[in-house]
Amino acid sequence: MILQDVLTATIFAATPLLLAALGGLLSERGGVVNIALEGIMLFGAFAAAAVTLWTGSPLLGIIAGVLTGALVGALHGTACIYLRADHVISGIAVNMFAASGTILLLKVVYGTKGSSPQLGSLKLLGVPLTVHLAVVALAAVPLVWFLLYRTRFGLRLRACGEYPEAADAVGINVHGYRLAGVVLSGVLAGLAGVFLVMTAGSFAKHMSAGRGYIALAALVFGRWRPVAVAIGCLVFALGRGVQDVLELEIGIPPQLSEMMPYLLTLLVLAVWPLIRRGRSAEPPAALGRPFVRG
Amino acid sequence: MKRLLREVAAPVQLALLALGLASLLLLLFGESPYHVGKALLRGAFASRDDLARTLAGAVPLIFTGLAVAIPFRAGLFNIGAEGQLILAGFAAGVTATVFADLSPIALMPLVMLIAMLVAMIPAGIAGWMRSRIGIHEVIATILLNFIIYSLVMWLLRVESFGLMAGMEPKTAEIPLGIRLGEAIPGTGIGVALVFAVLIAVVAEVVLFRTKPGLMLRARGGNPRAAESVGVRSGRVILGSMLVGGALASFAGTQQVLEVHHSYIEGFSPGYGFTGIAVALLGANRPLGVVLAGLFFAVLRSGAFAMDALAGIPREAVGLLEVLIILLVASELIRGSFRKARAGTAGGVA
Amino acid sequence: MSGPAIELEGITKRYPGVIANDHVDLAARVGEIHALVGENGAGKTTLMRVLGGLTPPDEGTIRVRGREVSFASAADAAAAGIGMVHQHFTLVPVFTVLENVVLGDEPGFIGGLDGVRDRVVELAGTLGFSIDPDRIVETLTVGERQKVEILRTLLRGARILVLDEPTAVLTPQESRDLFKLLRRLVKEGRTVLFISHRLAEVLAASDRITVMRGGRSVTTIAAAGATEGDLARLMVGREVLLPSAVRGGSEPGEPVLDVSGARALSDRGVPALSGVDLTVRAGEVLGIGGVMGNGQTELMESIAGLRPLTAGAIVLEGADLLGWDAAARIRAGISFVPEDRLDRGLVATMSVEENLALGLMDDERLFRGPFMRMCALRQRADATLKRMDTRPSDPGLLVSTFSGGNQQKVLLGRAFDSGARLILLMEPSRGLDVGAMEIVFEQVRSATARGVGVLLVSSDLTELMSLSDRILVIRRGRIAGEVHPGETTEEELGLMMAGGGA
Repeated sequence: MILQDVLTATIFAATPLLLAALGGLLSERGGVVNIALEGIMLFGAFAAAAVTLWTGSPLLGIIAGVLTGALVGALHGTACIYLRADHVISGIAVNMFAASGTILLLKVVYGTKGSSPQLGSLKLLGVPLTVHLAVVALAAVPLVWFLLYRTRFGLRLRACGEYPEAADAVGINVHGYRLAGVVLSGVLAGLAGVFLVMTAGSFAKHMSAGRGYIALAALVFGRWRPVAVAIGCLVFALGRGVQDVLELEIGIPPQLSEMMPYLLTLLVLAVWPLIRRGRSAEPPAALGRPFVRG
Repeated sequence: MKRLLREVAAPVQLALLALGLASLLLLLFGESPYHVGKALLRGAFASRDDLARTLAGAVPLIFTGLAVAIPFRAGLFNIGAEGQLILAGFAAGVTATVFADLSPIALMPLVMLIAMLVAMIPAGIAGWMRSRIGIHEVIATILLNFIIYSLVMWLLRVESFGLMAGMEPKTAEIPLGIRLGEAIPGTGIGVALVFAVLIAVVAEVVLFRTKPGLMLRARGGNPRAAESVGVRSGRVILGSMLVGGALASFAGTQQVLEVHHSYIEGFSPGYGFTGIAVALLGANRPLGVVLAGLFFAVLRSGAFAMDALAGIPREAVGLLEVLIILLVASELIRGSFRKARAGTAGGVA
Repeated sequence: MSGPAIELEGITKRYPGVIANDHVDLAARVGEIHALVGENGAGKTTLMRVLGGLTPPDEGTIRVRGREVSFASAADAAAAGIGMVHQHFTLVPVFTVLENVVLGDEPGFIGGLDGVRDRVVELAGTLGFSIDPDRIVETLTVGERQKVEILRTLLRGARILVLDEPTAVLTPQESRDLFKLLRRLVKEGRTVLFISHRLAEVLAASDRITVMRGGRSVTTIAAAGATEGDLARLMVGREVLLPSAVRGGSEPGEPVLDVSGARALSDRGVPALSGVDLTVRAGEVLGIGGVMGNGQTELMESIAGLRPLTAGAIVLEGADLLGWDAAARIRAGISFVPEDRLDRGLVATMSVEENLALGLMDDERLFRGPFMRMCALRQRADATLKRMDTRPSDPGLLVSTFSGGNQQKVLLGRAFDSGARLILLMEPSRGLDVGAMEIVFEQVRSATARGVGVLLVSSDLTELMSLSDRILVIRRGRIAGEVHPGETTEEELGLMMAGGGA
């Protein structure tokens, strides 16, 4: 019984991580470091909540969350690719923008400080939307794999992330593909934000709670490979999966159990390379390197 | 000196550009930049108390700015200053309470030292993970931030520790003897501000006039070249992160000793993150950080008045920070002024 | 023969401060191998980039088979039948041969590439070599990668093949194979245009030669009947003495460096050194010849303390360096000049004097305890820049504001200034013009006269032959033989590098 609870909680905890990490994968395999996942999630979540409240339609809310994610991804992408901003700094800036921006929006739009009004019923065909989104997240793993390894788009994107000069030499628009990768990552991370709102039933400030960074940790853990990254997400989600059990069954104080996802991620990151004894993670060779035509 | 002037020129232009863009945005929303600006400046400078608050507000920003800038010079991103300063503030509050009977002359350095050592732990962990396992310090420091938030919340509430003063999530008031006041009475210039400037000067000298500083900047500019002239990369990584943690600790300690006189949960409105903007605007030069810290302190301090008098939510100031970060970070925009950054941060690896 | 395949007329390309191409004319006929020669900075590479659609010219016209074209991108050039093979290969290292061949021209889904696979194998067959389309490019030799590049351009219908210094990274034997392949291609009615610095090979392999100097095209001559001296004169614009053996006669002293049984791994974790023994004596230049990637980098890094040995020993003036890190070895008297100045050499974002200080951190005259002596440092830097004739000569400027050649002078100046007992010199004259090379040679001579031992790695055989007292040939991480510059020819050396008899 406990195991089942843990499993269910883990899968739901893994859903936003999966979406964000797969998004990060598409961005980073194209060569753009995406620290901005956290902020994209937050903006996606806010947009989903606001549009759902405004129209009464959770479906429109989902679309709004995804589009907002794509837009913020495009912003980060433009800064990194066209303005040649340092990818990490731009990502951090987006995250700070999201943190203060959504709080500002809460205040301006709803006159509240902490969270939006409740969204009401979030079901589709009698099933909670979170379940639909969890299925989408799981399905995204093979889809992203296929996109990367079996399509023209994926081949070109990977070429841009490994050796943009080579891609450029055969006439590939490096900047365009990189931007496409970041925008797609915005779509997926935006969807991750949507999921958070659909789970909580409203938007709350800082609700992404570091999931974007944990998704990045999953990228490192899975060495930028879709299936391994997905496994990483499940491992890290376990930290949240056991949280309730720790609190309710074992009586660990909530402040301590809240620490679990982060602590688990950090420990796994620290210990896993020692177990694997392999070489350290291999990011795409041109990750974070701006492409400038000679 | 000429070089310093050149390095300062670009950030000043960028700050002006950011303020210009912000004014434009205000106009777009039908607000008068003049009125908003006036309200903001009045809030920051109108009375002696306002001025004192503004100057005191610069202290944590200078320290977090330095806590970001020094590792940045070594090619590292210390996004963990927030967690480090919270941990330090907590340690300072607890130490001051536990050893309240000690004479202030002994207690003051003890509080600072313990807060510093405690804050260096997470910074050191992140440095160690980067140098030994290659885990990017951004990921490690952020995760550590979250761990610290929870840990401190929990420690404060463990009943047998008896740290909480009543029902409020704060430690007991610290002894009067170690509360920081004005350095020169009547000016609003606090002891902590003088200390912050002093530390910045020391940092400036160490960074640009000593061998360790030379090695640190070399590793930030080109790790492989630094290695081949005998710079031990692992040491620089660990060392600069530890220094970053120590500098962040001063921000937390100052908040306890000068401002709140106890550790209060949620005392930091994100000083650690504003520190990123401070460091970047200060061109990652310690003396530049002092100026940038004062600049942001004016914005923050005036934000309340701007909210009250001009009706612009004070959170909007946060957006200005983001705007400045993005402007400074964008090579093309910055390049059109002048290249002024220390080193690259490298990809996630 | 037949008509013009490609004609460039009045091509001009300006960059801030320089005119890279100044009204350059060039015409290559169908069915010929056409060489382009000139000194560094003569504008050859810019012209090639214009031709490949990578750099749009400011002025001038390009005609392909008589029809005027203009290229907005590499794709346009490719569509016009121009295939580029760059000096730095444009293959994605972690992709397979097949993935690289289809990149940019792939079917929508790349599951089944069997059709392409067959065409690759078949075309390679008709060109006289075989290649496994599923090999990862990283695992191929340089020569094989080049063939993949050529194959790719041909599969895309290239009629005009443009190669930028194609033999720079090849052994003489591989070069010979390459020219055989190119000859076969032009016989089938294609056109080959290539850049080279090696005048002998230009004369042997091409039909006609266009000479460039200072951004202009000087003339085009037939290869038959021309001499190296003719070409050199045209390139430089005056009579030149081709470098010859200038050393000799110095008396080597006691051993400075002893390497025995050294084994080390490459960055990819495969053995790069498989038991290297060598001795460098005081006052001696020991040259290491070999095709790049045969363990030279790993050897130098191991001695410098930047790469651990898996077996063997390195002894500096009697002291075993086992477990000494780079800093300790610098202190013991080793100075390292890496092959790529901006990769392992200099910090581009720091000033020249700071870069000099970095290499001289144990010098008491420049540091008082941990503090830098700013005045002493400035004086020292001024002296070094003057000695190396570096321009500009202000040591307060950032390294990134210097040209490549002047950066190289800074790097070399630092090494020769360090008071080292052993200098590890990699590709010292890369990117330097003739005048600067003379300074470097002078520095090496005066260092050896002081009793410094020099270990020299160079892919430039002329440089190797001129500077070295002895030359060891390294092949697949082993010393394959030893020659003396006075008693051998570049041809013999090349043969040893490629694996022929000693």
